[in-house]
Amino acid sequence: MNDSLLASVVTQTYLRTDVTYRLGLVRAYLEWVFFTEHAAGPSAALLEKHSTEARVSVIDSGFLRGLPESFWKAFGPETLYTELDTLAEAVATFPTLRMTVGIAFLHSQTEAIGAWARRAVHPQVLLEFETDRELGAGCQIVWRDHVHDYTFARALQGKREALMARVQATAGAQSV
Amino acid sequence: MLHSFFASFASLPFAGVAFFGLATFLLILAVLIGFVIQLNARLRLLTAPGYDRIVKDAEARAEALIAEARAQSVTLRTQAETAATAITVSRKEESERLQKAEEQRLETLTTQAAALLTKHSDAVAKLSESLEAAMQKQTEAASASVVSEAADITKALQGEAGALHKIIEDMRPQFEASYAALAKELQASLAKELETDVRAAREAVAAYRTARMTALNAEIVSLVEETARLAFGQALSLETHRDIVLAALEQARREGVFTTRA
Repeated sequence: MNDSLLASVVTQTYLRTDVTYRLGLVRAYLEWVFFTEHAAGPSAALLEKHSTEARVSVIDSGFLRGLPESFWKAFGPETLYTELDTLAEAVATFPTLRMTVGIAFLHSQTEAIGAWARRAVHPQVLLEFETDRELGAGCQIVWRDHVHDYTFARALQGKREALMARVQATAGAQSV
Repeated sequence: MLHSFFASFASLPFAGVAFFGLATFLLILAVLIGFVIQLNARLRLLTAPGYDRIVKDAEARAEALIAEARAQSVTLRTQAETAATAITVSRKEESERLQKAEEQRLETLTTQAAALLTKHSDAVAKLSESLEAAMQKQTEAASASVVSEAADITKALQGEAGALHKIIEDMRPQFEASYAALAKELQASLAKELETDVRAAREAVAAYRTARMTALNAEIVSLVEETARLAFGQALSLETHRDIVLAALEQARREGVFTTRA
């Protein structure tokens, strides 16, 4: 399998769940091309027809359209499933940065964080998000089986002694 | 064939004729013997009435024997009944004679008992009168003794009361001095215990206040923390959250978190 084939899928996709979902989109489209339309290969016209018939969303159809011509040429009716399995196995080896945050992010926020992670952590890193409102701001991260806490709740715990001293001083001043 | 048989004999000499005659004679004799046997059987049948008569005679004798036995049994029963009646009469007379003797003996005993009872009644009456007089005498003596002892006891008690009153009067100053000393000691002890209790209560209140204040302070801190956390979680925009997360990740990178290798 060509690395560029993998890069085509992963480049603009930062969440591991999104990668799995988009590989499913590719698979559904190629099955339709090869086994329903019995065409020689994908084309822009077939993609339009498939998007209409299968009611593919704008975002998903935009992703499919964004894949380069070289990507589609790698697949044929006989090699379809082999290539897709190879892609999935390769994706499974990518490192995962698991993050727990205090609020659910939209796509734009995850993209920003993913882009930073690809640049600063690992070029093939994939993100997994969980939400815990008790954390406030910041994030807990799990990287290579180690947990690191950078949340506001943790920061407050560090300041707990100082805060306690401040409260006691205030209470003592009031009681006097 | 018989004809041919006789014809064959006719041709025989004299010996043959003699043989033939003997054979004829034997045949006739056999026929006669059979006839006699049959006649004997019939004769037996004709003599059957004689047998019946023998049977009837036997039955008549048997009935005569039975009748005789019955007559003898009646005679025996009559004799037994007569003897039983005689025995019963004899027993009855004997019983009546014994009953009469018993009644006479009971009457004699009753008369003797009545005489004895009359005799002892007089003795009991006399004994009762004597006992009553003795009891009256004893009662009067006991009453007099009790009155005398009561007077003695009263006198003795009065004496004892006077002595006791004198003892109490003598000991009164000593009692009053002891009471005053005890009251003073008790007062001092109570004052000391009260002071100790008050001091312990003050210390307990102070400890409780300190503990309570510590708990309240901790609660205040928790409230502040939670309030701040919630305020941060809800008041910040998504972009601000994203920036904080990016800042946290940058800090993690600076601290070398992402250089960790499995």
